[in-house]
Amino acid sequence: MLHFEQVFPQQNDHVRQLFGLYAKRKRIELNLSRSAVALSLLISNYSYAAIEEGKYALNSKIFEKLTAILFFDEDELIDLSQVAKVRAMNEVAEAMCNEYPA
Amino acid sequence: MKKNAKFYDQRLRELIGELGLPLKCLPDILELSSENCLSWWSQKKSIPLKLEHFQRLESLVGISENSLRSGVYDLELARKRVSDNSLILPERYCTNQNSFLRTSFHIIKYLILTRGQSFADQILYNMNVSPLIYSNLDTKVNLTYFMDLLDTLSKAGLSNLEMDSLSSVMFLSMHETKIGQIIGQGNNAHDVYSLLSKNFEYFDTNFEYKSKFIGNSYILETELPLSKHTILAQAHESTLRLMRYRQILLAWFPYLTGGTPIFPSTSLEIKSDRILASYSFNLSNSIKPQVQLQLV
Repeated sequence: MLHFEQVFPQQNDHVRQLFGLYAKRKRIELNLSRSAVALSLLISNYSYAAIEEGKYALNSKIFEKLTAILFFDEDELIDLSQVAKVRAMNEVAEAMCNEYPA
Repeated sequence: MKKNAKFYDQRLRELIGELGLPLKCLPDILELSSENCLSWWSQKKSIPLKLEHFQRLESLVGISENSLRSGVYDLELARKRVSDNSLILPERYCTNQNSFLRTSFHIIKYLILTRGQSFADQILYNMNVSPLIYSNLDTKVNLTYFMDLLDTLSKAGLSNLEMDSLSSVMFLSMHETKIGQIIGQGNNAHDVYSLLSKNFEYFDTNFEYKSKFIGNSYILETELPLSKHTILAQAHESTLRLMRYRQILLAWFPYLTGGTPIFPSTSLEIKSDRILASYSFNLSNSIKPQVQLQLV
């Protein structure tokens, strides 16, 4: 099983947002409610909602529990981390390049 | 029978007639035995119809259930699909088909990854396209297809950040393509754009390309005659979105050699008969090649 630090060595907004989207997708595919997942994680509904909205600072404990509850796929997690890197590069370009599209 | 169920019952019967749908398809839509379906059809049996039944019809016909229910849809296309082939593209995507479907596959994969198959399917249904067309990535489409795909995604709520990343995400799998293998041989940004210049046909055949190196700059001029893309001529905002996608795409080619994207300064003119886009890439931080490159 992949560890959180292996998949996401650097946590940033892009990682959190993409992870949140992925968690939401997997939850809906399993026909689970947010409150059911929150209960399994032993966190509040509010905190779980923050995970799906990409506003929660992730840690290995939450990651491992969610992986088990929502049956995360290793290959998909690796894809997510790659997309996060690409998005981060675009964000840097937007901040630093005058030529980035307005 | 409740109001909605009554409307759905009536509407489904109308659709079966309009589409020329064979009654043998009813079990797939109603998820009942053939016997019960025929009983329903001959009004001997009442079944509470729901949205799910129209969603099944949607996957059968490749047209969004919302359009089917409202009655505002391409009837001719729908009938062709029922009688012939669910993979038929709407007429809108069937002129000047100069692009392969594979060049948008990364977008579909991204949607499946982040939102799931159902969301990706719905995006395509909203374009009156069956998701099954992606079973053959050699299918040819046109620029209007890309424009509509980007528009549909924007309307579906993808943020500007996500929309911008769609062109960059393509490069995560581009090394598997012909153009990716060619450009991957380069050592630096000069090599990248030099190789791209010699292989535009692997990148895109809709636009006309002229390029040159002046000092440390790479200048790329592109032109799209709108006589062949009349829908783009009438959709200014959508065309801008498409051109933004292309601008970011062109910036990301150095990624194939381990470099960072180089965003060009861009000049865009949308005229009545053509689109002119010029890009100037500052390669001053890149090392010029010392050895003549061998092209594959």
